[in-house]
Amino acid sequence: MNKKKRIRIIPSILIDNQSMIKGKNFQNHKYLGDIFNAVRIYSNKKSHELIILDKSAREQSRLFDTNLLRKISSEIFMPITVGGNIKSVEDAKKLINSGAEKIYLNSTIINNYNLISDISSEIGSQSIVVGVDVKLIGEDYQIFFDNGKKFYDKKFLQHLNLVVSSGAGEVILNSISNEGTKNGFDINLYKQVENEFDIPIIASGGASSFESFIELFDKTKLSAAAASSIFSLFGLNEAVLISYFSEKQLEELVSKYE
Amino acid sequence: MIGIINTETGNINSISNVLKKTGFNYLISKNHKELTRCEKIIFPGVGNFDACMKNLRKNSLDDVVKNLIIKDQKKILCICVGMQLLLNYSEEGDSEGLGIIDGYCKKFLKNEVNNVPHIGWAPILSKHKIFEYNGDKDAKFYFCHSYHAKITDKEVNVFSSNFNINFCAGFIKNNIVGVQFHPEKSLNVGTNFLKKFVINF
Repeated sequence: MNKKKRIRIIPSILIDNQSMIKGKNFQNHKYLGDIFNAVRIYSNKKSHELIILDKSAREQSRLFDTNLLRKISSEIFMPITVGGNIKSVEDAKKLINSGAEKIYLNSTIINNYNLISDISSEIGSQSIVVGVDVKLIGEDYQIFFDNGKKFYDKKFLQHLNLVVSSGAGEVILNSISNEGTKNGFDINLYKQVENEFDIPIIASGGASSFESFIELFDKTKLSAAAASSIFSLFGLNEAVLISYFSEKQLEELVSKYE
Repeated sequence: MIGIINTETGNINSISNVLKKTGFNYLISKNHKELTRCEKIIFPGVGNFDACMKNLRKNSLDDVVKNLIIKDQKKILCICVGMQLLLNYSEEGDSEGLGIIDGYCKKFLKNEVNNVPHIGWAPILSKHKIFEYNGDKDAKFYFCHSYHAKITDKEVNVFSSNFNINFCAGFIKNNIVGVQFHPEKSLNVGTNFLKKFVINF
């Protein structure tokens, strides 16, 4: 008998300072609107969690804005994961103390896996999410960092193994090729990792509809997925519309696997 | 007045935000005298068991917590690692816990919960007259943990949750409420839980 899955569908928000933005294949970002409006809607719609990543933090050599996080967490009472140039245990603690449930690491752990173990021994594994951005090149998935701009010369599974053994609590495996395309999740990517690790792997990149999630959960052992286009853009013209599945749809999805 | 024990590592901000929004007065303190003046206490915790325990000792908060619970008999809500620290020990580390409730924290096995840590929303079962929950899908709480409490204390009234296996979602013993889930992160369901603690417990 198949084991039950505890499904999580997580809207992911990319920001540039306080503006919500959205790109395609990590490029050509457009302005979507005010972040406060978006997080209020996601909270009212009872989204399972939220991920908020500040794209400009690393470019501007600063940490995710703790004042912004304090404002957000004083309005919505739900689990939030935040990322943006977290370089030390102190950075991680500042964000947790400002209301983050979990912190997200990506570019700052490249060749620096100790950062994961150092943070984990303070705030615990369950609060560390590591983002891994990959692109299919030839037959292999290759890792990129710095918003997909830089290539990391390490085998994909080797990198994941190091991330997990250093103490990550979750991994968001993001398909750069699928990001923003609404082509569905990269099922082959997730098939490669579904049996490898104990920790949750969160799929990200390409969700186009309710059915994309069903396909992912039916075809792989994953139980969590993040998405942004589907929860922020509407129709062929991609008009801005912040939304989430209705409670009824969500319950249908969740109870299919529980 | 609600006293939030200033454990530094906990997400104190999230708890105080909910109290502020629901109109309850609170103070955040490490000082026993200040905390004894409060009607009820919240003991937050997020983090590694040993790191949290070390931090408590560094600030002499281990004695503060023990005094508030045992000597002052304060009504206290202990959240996540705050709850785990009341037990004798955890498989997460080598530190002794506060030993106020008999039991320990056990790591989930992958074959029990699919993935460790166990993360997500789940209903709970509790027959306690104030915190009554019958496993209803409309009342789910947010969990994010790798370790779960194994309570051996017979006087404890346990809340349970289920995910392939049954596990302890929290407990009540006399003046103590301990929860594994995060009421402060559980939307309206969590806010209502905190209200029940503040108003009814």
